[in-house]
Amino acid sequence: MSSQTQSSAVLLQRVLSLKEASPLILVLDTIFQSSHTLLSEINHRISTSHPANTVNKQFFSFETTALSPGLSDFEFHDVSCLCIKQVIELISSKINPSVKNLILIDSINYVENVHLSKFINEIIQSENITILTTYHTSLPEFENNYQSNQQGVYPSSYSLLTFIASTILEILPHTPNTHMQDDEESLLKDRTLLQSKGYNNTDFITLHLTNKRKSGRSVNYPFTLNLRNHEAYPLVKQQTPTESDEDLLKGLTTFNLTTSAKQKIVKDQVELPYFQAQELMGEAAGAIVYQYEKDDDYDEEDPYEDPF
Amino acid sequence: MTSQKQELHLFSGNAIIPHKSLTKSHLFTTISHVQGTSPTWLVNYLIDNALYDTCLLNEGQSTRSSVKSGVVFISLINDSKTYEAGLKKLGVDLKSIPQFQFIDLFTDLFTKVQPQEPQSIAKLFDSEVFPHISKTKKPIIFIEGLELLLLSTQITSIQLLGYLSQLTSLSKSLFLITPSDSELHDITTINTQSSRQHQYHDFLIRVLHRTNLNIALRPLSTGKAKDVTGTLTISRGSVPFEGLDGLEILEREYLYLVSRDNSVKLFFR
Repeated sequence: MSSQTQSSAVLLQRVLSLKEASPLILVLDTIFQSSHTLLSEINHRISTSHPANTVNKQFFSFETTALSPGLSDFEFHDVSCLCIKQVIELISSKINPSVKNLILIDSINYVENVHLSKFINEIIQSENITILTTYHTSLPEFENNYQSNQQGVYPSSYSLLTFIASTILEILPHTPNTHMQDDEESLLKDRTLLQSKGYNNTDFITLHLTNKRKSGRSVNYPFTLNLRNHEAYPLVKQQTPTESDEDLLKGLTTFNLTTSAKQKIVKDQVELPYFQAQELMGEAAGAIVYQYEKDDDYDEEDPYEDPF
Repeated sequence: MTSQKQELHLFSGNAIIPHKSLTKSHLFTTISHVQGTSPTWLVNYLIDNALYDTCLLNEGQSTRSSVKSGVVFISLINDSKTYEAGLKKLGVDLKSIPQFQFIDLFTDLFTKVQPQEPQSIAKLFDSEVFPHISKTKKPIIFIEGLELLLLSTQITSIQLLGYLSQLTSLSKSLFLITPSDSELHDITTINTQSSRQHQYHDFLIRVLHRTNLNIALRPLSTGKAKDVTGTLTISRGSVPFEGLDGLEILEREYLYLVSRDNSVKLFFR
């Protein structure tokens, strides 16, 4: 394993177990691969890397009506009937300043675009709070009235969230033999909607981790996550040569290092001496045959003859 | 060459509705269909299975004993006679089963609901639906035609999902029967949030993020055939279903044929 893949695996472990300081972890999912399995995986990693009762886990749900078994140690709050102000007040009242707080919001699509930045800003008031939230990218975003009034300069929820988030975990289905691109394109069509087999895998997912440092540097690593044995495998991109050697030589010097197409044809037509020799192959059954040419110096003495 | 008749199973262990697992987990299922692939036949079999854990499509699952679960059927597009007649053909007299309840929102719907007033929909659910569902013994709920409210009134997809959430918490299993014709939710040419297509598309995608199981009935993509009515696809939903004893959803695709006498044949695809 190269040092880069090693460090990416360490970074993922640190992010998923809340060891890496990150105020907003954004999980991007689709109807083809939901975030439920990843959230359980994150909870598993937090539980195994932190002593009991050192993380205050709170689940605020706009969507799910009950906790899944993988998140059973969260405190559940159904906020689907509350207004945004009430949700913020409820979240603030559940924060314990003496320990690390994990605020899980499922899902942020239910917070209106205009309230989004205020909503997140009001929750993240201290360093020991991490918001973990899901955003469904399958839901199309439409220009709303507020955006129209702003003459189209106000960003979409997706742009806002991906800009604010310090860590982005994009989930893709682990289906190596299917063409995701095709499915994404035909998502809106009836034939794939509601009848896609082989998705929402509970054993394997593909994960794209984007981590933004305080310095402004952003790193992106893809992984395959095995949810059964809780292991992550960095996906190493196969280095495919995009340029030929000829292309690399271009523009390096003031003189020409490459050959033109015409030169290549002429070069291929040159008849090399060993081609002619190969025509006689087999005639002498493997013996060394020397054929004299007109300028050869013939010596009658055999240099290998035994002198005695 | 004769085609082999196959059996209908949604879960491992030959289960259709996993009654035992519903004591521990909630099951949310969508049954989506388009024009030409009406789901009535499937819903009839599912009601039978919800009540008695039997299914006449399968061998060895035809003996009815006691009622396993209460069933509430809410319809905005049919009255009770549709399903009473369908179930009678399967040998089930719905009228004589006290555990079965039909909530008819179809008759007089628009005398109770004012299209411009979403509050009238809240009143409808508060007076006609929620009080009639037992809170002590959670039933299996079927609801069909909910999209009618979305397409004909000013209600938003999120408001409608609020009612679905309440039904989810009142039930041990919820079946949402909904059309998925592309004309209803095609948003490729529309970019206004208030359009009904957008609201329905938004509703469908949000529902798909809540389901455990999706059942889709579609016509053959190759055209009409005399011996095949359509395809039946069973696929996992977004929320993993945590059943007892490692119960898993069986992702499968069937071809099905509904004959004139309403008998149904299933074939593995």
